[in-house]
Amino acid sequence: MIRSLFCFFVLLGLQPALGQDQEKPERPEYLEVTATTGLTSFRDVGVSPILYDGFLIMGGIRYTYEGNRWQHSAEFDGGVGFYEVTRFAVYESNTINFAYGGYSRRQLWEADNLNLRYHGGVRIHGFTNVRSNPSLLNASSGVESINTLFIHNSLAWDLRFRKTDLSKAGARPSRHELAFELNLPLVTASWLPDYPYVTDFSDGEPNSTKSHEFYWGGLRLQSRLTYRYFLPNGNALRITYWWDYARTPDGFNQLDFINHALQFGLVMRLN
Amino acid sequence: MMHIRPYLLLLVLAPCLMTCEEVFLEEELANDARTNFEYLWQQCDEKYAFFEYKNVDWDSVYTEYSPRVANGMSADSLFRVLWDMLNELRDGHVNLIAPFNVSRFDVDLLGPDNINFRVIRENYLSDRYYTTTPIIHDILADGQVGYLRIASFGTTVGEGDIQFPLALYRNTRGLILDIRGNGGGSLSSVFTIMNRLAQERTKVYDSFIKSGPGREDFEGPQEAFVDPPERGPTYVKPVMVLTDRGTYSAASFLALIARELPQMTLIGDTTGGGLGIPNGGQLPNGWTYRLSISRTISTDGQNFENGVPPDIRVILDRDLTEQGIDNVIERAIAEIL
Repeated sequence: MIRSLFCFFVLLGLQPALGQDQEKPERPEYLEVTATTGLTSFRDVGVSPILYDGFLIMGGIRYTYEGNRWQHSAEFDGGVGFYEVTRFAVYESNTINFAYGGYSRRQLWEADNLNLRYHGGVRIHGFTNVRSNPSLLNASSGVESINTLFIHNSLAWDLRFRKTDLSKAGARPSRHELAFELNLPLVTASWLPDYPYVTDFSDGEPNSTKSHEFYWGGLRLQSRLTYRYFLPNGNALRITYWWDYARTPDGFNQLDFINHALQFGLVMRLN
Repeated sequence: MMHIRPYLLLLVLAPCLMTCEEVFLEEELANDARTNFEYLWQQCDEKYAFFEYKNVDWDSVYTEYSPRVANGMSADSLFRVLWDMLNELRDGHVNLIAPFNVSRFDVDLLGPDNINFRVIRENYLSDRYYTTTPIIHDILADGQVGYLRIASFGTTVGEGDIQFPLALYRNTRGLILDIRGNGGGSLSSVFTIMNRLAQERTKVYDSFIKSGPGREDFEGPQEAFVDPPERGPTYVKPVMVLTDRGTYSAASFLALIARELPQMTLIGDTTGGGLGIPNGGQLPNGWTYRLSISRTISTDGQNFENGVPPDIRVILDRDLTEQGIDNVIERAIAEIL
């Protein structure tokens, strides 16, 4: 396992980006393999007033296109979560998670002298959890999905210094980028259990999502702080601190999710 | 370089400013005796399905039990108060579960014990009776009657589990389906069995489930049917279903379905009922609970939540059991023959 990872990193560093100079990336496209781990909390008022705490592990892929003005991205992740709460005894809940997302943004401002660029656009992000909590008896399994269209803002700072640099004197300056992303909600659609939470299986046909409905509104906020280090061949390493807060509309089935995650990306340039 | 610092500060500080979810997150409920009592009473008030049927004045229950709750009381004392409150509902599907105790309403004690399995094992089953889990079965009455005993639906009855005995007893004159003392379990198992005992697609009951916090907020009906499968053995000769007060939940549903099938006869005592679907939930202190959140209404408009009555009432005779005779089984055999 360790040997395989080592070989992967060596290949990432050695693999040439096809036909493009790192200094002048014209519309680069990237494919990433991502790994995410984070501290997560959730509360499902439909069955419990208690906030469960735990952690999440996910893996995924991401495609990114960075044009001169427009940039686009798409990502898919899957993973598991483990949560618990201690009240007299330890109560556990586990999840299987799926997530998707992406953005489309346009450069709206740049300050060449400061190496700053601002992109604005839209981002979509959604996640679906399949949860299991045996202590909740007939309500032990739950499925929910929260999907949000955001107003997307990104401020990126190219850390490539022309005069002072951590690299050796005379060497070509390496490229680093620090970016902060703030996503503000436009529309959120949540697919949640209806009032009884437990479906009516008295017809002998259990179906845990039979009484699910779509609910609109609530609150969703997301921010990401990303650092990218570009290798000489155009590939890159990425680390992102990601904060995500979601709250479905007030009511009998209100859900709260809080996620503090670190995402690591092995970025391979495709062109 | 001096111009860079404000932006650098912003890039570093901005995520810190956006991780203050406490601003948006509602405070958790206090974990004290009073809060737990109020929460449980409220959950019952908004989700329990049988206040009117059982003639329970839930507001009066609050008035009676609230003074018995005080912050600082022990967990065991609080559990006892909540248990007493929940037992006002007289419902076997209403339970409070703590790490140290489980509350219950003993529905089976509402009537006499109506089965002695030792008597059945020693006097009716052969030494080599079949166990097609969870069904124990054998042939009775000189090969004329098949006997199927299902003590619980806690283990799922698969298609193979019911097809084997139905094929085995296809030449009998009738079956006895003994669900005395069966406390319930998987409702899908009931349909697996009853689909193969139905002559044709038959509506068996309607179900209404809570749709809101008002005490009469229900949605439905959801209709339930039994439908004979196209493949595999079926059995449409006389079936005697043996019941008692311990016949509860999914087993009571079986008895309710049997009322709709013309070749089936209920013999024994009224079932324990339990025809409401229980949900699940958790109190602020972590204890879990369940409540009945639906109603089941027969095709002739009756609510048998307190028990499905038999067609032929037969109570186990203690004197006869000492002689090795189960008079409930004997009556069932007589009805078949």
